[in-house]
Amino acid sequence: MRAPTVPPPAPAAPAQPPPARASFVERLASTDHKRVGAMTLVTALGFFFAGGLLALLMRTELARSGLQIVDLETYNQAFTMHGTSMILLFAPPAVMAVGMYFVPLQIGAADIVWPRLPLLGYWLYLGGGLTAWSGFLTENGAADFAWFAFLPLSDASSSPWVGADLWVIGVALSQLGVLLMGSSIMATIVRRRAPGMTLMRMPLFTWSMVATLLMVLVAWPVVLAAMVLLFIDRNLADVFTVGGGSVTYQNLFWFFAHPLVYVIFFPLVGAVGEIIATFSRKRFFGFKVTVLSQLTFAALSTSVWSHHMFTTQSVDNRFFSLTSTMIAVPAGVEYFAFLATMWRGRIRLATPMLFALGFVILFLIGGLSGVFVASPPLDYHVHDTYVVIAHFHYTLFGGTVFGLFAAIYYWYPKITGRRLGEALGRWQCGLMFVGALLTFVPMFFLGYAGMARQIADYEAFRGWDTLNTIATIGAYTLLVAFVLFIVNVLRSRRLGALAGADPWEGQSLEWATSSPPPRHNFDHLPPIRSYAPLLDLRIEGEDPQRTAGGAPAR
Amino acid sequence: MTLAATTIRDEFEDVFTVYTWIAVGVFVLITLLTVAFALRYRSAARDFPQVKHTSYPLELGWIALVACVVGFLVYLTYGTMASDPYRATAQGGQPAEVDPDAVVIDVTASRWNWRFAYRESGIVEQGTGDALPTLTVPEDRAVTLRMRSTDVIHALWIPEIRFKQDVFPGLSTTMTIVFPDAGTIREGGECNQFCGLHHATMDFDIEVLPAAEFDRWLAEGAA
Repeated sequence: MRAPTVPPPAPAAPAQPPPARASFVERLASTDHKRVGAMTLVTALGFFFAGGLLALLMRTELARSGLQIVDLETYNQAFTMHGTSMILLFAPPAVMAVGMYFVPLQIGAADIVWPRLPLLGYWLYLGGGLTAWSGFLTENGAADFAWFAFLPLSDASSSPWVGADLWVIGVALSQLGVLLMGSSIMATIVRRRAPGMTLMRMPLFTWSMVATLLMVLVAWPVVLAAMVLLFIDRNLADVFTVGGGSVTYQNLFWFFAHPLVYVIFFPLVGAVGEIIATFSRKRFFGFKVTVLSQLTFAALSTSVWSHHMFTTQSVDNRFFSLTSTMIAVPAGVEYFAFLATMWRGRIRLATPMLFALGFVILFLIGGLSGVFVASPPLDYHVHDTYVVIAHFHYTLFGGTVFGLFAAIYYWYPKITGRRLGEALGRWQCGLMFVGALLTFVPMFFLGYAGMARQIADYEAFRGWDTLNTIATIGAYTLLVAFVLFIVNVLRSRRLGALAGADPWEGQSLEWATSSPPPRHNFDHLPPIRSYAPLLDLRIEGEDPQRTAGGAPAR
Repeated sequence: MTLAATTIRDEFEDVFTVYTWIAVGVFVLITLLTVAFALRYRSAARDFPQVKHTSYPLELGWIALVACVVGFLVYLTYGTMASDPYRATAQGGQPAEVDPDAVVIDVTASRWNWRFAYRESGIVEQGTGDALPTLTVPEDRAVTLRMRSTDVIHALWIPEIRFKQDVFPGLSTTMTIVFPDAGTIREGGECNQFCGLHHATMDFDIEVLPAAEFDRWLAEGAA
């Protein structure tokens, strides 16, 4: 029986042209969570492209042995600001942006709790990011002590320049901004769920934001404390005295920075899970166990930080090796759920699904190589080498960036009312996939052979030129992919197909309102009886007999 | 304590090989399943397949399976950390089992150079801006490096040995290693903790001498 599916309870008109654009002031001062979310996402992508240009500069320098295009000082600033941009100024705000836009929609809320807080957070974040980058305008350049700013290298005598202070202030402000955005999203989940939206009926993406925000609430105050103490240490009085103090700083920093790396891919695991379910036309498999695994993952995340310190002789390597390796269990649950969701589905390989599959494969390399570095005997060799660079780029590029582009291609029609082009999207996805392999696979071999991270040069006798050249070619492949994305976005503003409320036959509530949604989000809400309320409606429309057994009445 | 029959490098390679086979196996399995499902179930059909969307036995069974693999890997790692060559050196919260026969070398790291001082003989090797220093060590005999820094954190990494440890200011760390083969390793030692401007070139050469030759070298230096 192929009865017409129940139209999602959205506006009657199938596709309306997007409304007139907001004025400049409206954009800057709006407390609408959708505006703030969209602004944050655009800003985060700005830092992503800026950090990417620094990466290209480094890859160009490293393509051949010998120093060709930059001097040592410039190179050191480049990798410091590349890391800072990607891991502090791009990724956490980007996932907060997606959460801020879509969590209220997914739980059927009309607005966010404390709407001014995320706006303040956005301005702190933008100001902080620009502050850190403004170091490039000073006489001695931007910070050059790597993105983790270990003491005593980052103290006043080793890094006396103002660029270092701008970095400390910029990191503190931007991460305070992230914390404020996160607090508001968390409060919204607790207090603004629509009638019927019980905790276990929240979609996977919203649940992954819960796990993420629990980590943010635990870890972000620690980085604020660490940055304040570092500022005092640099400018007022010794806080971290030489010796044990430098280890204390590392403990503080990694207690923040390891949950951080989970914060920046967790929400995208949720988004990818929803994309796989939607494009398999099935309910997400193993929902409860997956949610539990994410919460377990978040809890474990607070007890793994010292695996960054296996070579310090100051932490219990056995304990942190055990907790770090255990991370494979909840991660394994997620992979099982992805595959089981695809099993016997009706899979459409549209661009969001292609990016999601890219995420599944590339993130797997990051996860599996993570198991290696969780073993101290293996880490003693590869710690701080290109092996680690390759490992975390598979988690952060293969994971965060692929997941974010899956989310962007999936939700762009909801945000703008227009679709991104499929053909350009396929090219972007393919080039990103090939580029990610070309760029980062050689790094595993380079690191194993002895190439340390954070070096501007290596000598020709080492025989590393070929692999480095391949990695550089990969980096330029990625550049082409991102240019295609920008072209796609610009093109879609005029030529993109009108999306309508629900272009993908989505399963959660954001697809039950117009694209873009009105200021108050919903004119009316459909009944919510599971974590896939729109799928329930469609199945009822298709075959009312099946409903009793098919859709779970939780 | 007699010299261990194996070296850190041997133990490293044993455990690395097992980890690699498991990782490659898991990667191939999951990638093949992902691609196979994407192609096998690719469909333009517009219905919504009503298949099971939860199965506790399957999910818990999978968790138990992954947990067993994790348990096996942790068992391997702990075993390696407890093997003779790793026990002979300090790691994490675990002090070294001191070898009284070990050659003790005091290592001082300063931006951006290394200094090696041999206790009994008084030999001191110090790198300059123009020449890398050479760490001279005996073949097949334990070498204990007692390391400290005069400025920021460095790390001493010898890729050939598959081992490194951090070097701190105001805090002593040690590593005990054995070089199984005589010969010269060009730039075989590297600084592996970013330490500022010239970090990239803070290397040293390694000269591994047969035991008798090393003793002669020490005696000549002392004279």
